[in-house]
Amino acid sequence: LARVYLVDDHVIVRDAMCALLEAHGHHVVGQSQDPTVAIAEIRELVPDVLLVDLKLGLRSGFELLAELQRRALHVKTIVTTMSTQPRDVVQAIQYGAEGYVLKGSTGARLMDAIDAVLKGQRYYEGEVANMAVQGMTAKDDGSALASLSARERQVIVMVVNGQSSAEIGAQLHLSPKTVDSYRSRLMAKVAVRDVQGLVRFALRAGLISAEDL
Amino acid sequence: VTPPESPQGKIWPNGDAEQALQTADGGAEALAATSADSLPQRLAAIAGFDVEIALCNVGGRALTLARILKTFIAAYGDGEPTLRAGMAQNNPAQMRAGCHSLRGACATLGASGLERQALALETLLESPHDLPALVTRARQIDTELQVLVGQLAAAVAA
Repeated sequence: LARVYLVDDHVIVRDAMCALLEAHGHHVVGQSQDPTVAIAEIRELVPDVLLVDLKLGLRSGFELLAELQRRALHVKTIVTTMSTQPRDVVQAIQYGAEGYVLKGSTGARLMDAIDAVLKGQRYYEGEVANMAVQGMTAKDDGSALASLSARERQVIVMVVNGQSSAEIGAQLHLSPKTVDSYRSRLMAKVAVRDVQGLVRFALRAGLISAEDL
Repeated sequence: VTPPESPQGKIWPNGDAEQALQTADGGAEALAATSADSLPQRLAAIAGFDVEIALCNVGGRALTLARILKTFIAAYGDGEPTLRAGMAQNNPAQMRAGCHSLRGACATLGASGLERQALALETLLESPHDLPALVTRARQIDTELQVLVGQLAAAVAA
């Protein structure tokens, strides 16, 4: 039985998951909707298992996964999401998630996933396994995309949405200078020289859709 | 996995819903709180609502389900805010985000009918060729959400 930490921006989902986990004997040691708070509490509470959603309002679960890697915080991680995008499964694998469970799945599947990761196994079952294969075999800007941090992806989306460095900085609690530095670095990584090139890359890589523009 | 007994009461993951309501989360108190019809029975009568899934997703605890349903009712009493903002501004990305969020809540609570509709619209909004038609569809979802919220409120309050 595991000590579990939950990250989801939906209080309804967190509440239900708590009830489900505790009904199966697991202990929910903490929960949050915010990746920054989650990192601090994971360091403090040292859970066995982290359940994390990918869409966290304006922020992303990938941001949290990347930060866990950067800080070498070892916690068995299962992505719990509504996303059936193959690239999300691939990115979850790349960011070290041990499992990926769709929210529409049965509670039993989530319990199986927790059991599996506690045993040191990975859990990418059924439809998710197919999505992973699709994502890994798709021809896109995968390598450039993979080289970007979650924060860099977030900055790309904000830049192509027309936000200034000052606006991005205010939203992400960074100085405009730091945002400029992110912009320069990520443009070098994806080999573009201007915002137009960045927009084309973001479209090809699926970071945005044409309708977002 | 066989769930253990918890301090809150026994668990029925596969759902003797009636028994769950009467005994889980506090036994006599639960019985006193119910009318002749049980909450799971009333929920089962709502079209597009799968009470088995709902109970399963909260560990079989009917009173926990009632509490979470109240949160859902409070959260969506005035519709899904992001979806409504997207409709007001003809903004497909915002409507898609609203659908996605609504889908998560509906999947958790067994509101399978609305979940399917939100998924269908979310998918269409990836390439919104006919935006006015999609806004109309979003309005239908908004209306059905209001109906569902009303039905759930009546079921929980009875």
